[in-house]
Amino acid sequence: MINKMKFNFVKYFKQMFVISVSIFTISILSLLFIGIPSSIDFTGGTIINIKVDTDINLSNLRQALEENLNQSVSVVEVKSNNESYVLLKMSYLSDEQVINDLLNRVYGNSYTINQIESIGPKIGDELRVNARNAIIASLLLIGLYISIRFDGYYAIGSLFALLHDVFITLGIFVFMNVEISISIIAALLTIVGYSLNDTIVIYDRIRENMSLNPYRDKKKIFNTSLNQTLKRTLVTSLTTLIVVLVLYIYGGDVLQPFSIALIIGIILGTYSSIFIASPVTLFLEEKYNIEEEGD
Amino acid sequence: MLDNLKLRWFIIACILTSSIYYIYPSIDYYVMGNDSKQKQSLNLGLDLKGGLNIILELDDYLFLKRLSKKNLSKQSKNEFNDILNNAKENANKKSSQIIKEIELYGKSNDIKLNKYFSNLTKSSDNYQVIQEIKKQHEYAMQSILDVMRNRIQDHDQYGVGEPSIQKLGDNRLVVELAGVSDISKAKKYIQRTADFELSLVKNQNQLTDIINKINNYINKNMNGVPALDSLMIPDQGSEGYLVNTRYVQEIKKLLKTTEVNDLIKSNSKIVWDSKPLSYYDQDNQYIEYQRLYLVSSNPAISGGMIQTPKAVVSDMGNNNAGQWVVNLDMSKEGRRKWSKFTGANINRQVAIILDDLVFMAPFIRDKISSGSTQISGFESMQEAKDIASVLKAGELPAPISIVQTNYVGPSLGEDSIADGANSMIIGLLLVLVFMLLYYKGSGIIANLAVVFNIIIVFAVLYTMNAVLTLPGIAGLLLTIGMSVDANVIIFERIREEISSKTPNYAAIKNGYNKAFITILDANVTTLLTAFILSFLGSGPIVGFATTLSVGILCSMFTAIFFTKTIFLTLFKMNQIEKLSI
Repeated sequence: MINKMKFNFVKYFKQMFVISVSIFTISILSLLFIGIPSSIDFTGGTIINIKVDTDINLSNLRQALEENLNQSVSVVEVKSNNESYVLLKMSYLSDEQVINDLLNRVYGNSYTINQIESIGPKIGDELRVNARNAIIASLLLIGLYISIRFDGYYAIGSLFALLHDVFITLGIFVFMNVEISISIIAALLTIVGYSLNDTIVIYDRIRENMSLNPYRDKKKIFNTSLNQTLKRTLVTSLTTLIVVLVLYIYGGDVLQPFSIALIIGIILGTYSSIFIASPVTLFLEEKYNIEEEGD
Repeated sequence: MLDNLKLRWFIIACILTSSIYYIYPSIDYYVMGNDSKQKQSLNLGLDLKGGLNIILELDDYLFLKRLSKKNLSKQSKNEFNDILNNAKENANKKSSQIIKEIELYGKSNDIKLNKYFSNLTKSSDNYQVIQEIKKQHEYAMQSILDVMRNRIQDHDQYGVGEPSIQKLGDNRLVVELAGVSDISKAKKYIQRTADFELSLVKNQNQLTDIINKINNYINKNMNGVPALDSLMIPDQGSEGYLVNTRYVQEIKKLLKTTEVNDLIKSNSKIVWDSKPLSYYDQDNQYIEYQRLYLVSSNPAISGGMIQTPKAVVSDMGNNNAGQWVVNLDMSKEGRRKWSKFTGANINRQVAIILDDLVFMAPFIRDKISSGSTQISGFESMQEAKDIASVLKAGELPAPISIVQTNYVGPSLGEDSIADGANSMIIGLLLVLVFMLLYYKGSGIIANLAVVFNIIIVFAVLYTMNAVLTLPGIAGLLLTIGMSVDANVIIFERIREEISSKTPNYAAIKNGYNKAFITILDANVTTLLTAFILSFLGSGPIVGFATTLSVGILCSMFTAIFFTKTIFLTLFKMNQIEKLSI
């Protein structure tokens, strides 16, 4: 029953690493020069989702709102599967009565408010600080855990992989025009957890094989371990991808950006545990861990 | 690991029965539609059931202003205002707390805070003063929480549907109301300070004096602002003045400026009627007026002295017959003060003020020795009822402001429930089919583990009193995808062992033993990130983090303990040879 697949991963380490580093660099550059807009989670603001049964003239609605509120308002019509709704976006509004009155005047009873999300600027600031702290804390904790369970070289390898996953996902977001929100941060942290999970299974095998054959060539050990875990890596990625794809297709508008982030992240995470985490660790092991080889 | 199969099955049976015991009511309620089981069911989050979630914040600035010593000299008052404004600005800049900023300001500028807070403590040490302020702040938050609970549970609309009111951090409160349709009304109700006072209305000539003073000031210092007396006229029927509603905003703004505010003596204040008066003038033109009064800032009766407020329809033979009014009574102390006050002020006007708005201002005709009072002048039954219940719940120690609103309409909630259920079922089925096709016989075992895992997760969520949100469902689905991983790791290990000619029994044992540490390591990292996520913000993301961590923890049990038990049992029954891996 055992599958006799055998790839020479180590042979491609260099090429893949160069490709990854260039994509990583492009991502960083696009983040720096184009940037990603923040959602109201971090800037503060109000988004109102309304459904209007009659025909609407978006620019008239915008003009009326802007006159009444004395601020610029973005009015966008969103058409999803079988429904359409209008999103009104503006800076923080502590009382929506004005909007209600205005909509009532214009549309009478033929509108419904689906959703209101209103975040005060102070809360937005706090969430931004919280999100930043959460990311730093998770990277530190994970680094610490891997250093304890494995050793520093493995920790460095896995951190490289994590940075790769997170920044390339963000880089792709730049081009997909996705806003950074709390749920995207949650998705990024989940990606971190997933990618690491994948990396650890491989590391575990490498470590086991190293202790079984301490004198064998490290390149060979890495390659064997990657092949031994390949089936598992692919099956797990596949089952996880299945559920995330289902979330993307059936989860509705609310979960869509979140599931896109996860789809990208799971693919990257699977790739990075083979082609980022392992090469970096192999490189460090070969370069700095020579004396211990004779143990 | 446990080798006693009977014990293993006993543990599994216990967990399975208790889990089913916990989730059965939820299935009965959500799937079968048995409404009597609602209370024993897993709660849905706001995003699924629809409703209003708001975060309220105690206004520290106004709280400190109210807390400070009342009879400060004008100079000290200005000093204190400067300190307060400075602290507010810094707190905004650094997103820290005003109290902390005052402490820092006091330290760096060597200011004795005791000067402004000698009413709190005799100590002249800034540290002691700040400690006392913090203590008062804590009391205030507790009392806001209590008042809010009473206010909402008492309400005939917001009180139903299990409202939740919880403290959040130092100075915030989360209020969650299900099934609210009029958001603005709900917000207004919640935000009411319920500051109730009965205060003597000052004579019209005193108000005229102040208006003249303000006019002088306008003439001297403000170009292009029209004189006040051109915008308002003395009311014939009361001690107040009338302002055409067109000018009300302008005048309110003018009165708020510090310079103008300083012209009003500190023992009095200007208050406005709660709603405008409308007339048809001689030419049959419709005009709206808003009335303002000058009242004593030392109320005769305040919120603490009233009892049993109740909204009723006024009796016949009364001015307000048939209208909604609020009847209330006074405490013993209140009655004594009220009787003395009314006796001393016959033929004067007294204003009934709630949250700085005058609801009515009757003339005192006799000494009143009973404490029963009636307030009229409400727009609707709902307003009368709302005011009765805010009075009953008591006043807030300081104003609160809304810093975050989240509203989900009922139809969106229903859509989300459908989305969540669909993704859950389709995702689960696809994973089950995949595992069956790929691992065949052992796939059935892994699938049993997945289903078992879901049952346990729901039971744990219920016992944790957690709410199920849409991101929570996403977390659960992700767990399903990822928890299969543990079985994949184990199965692949067993395959390897078998291929290296290890006897089946040993292959299973080795497979599990070697895989265990890997699974543990891999899951710890996911748990770590889920744990950090649960600190990130509030609401839906916490739901995601909760189901993800619970799911992963439970999957360790089902994917390792449960599947191993099945393997061992099959082995004992000599069926293992037939099992395909």
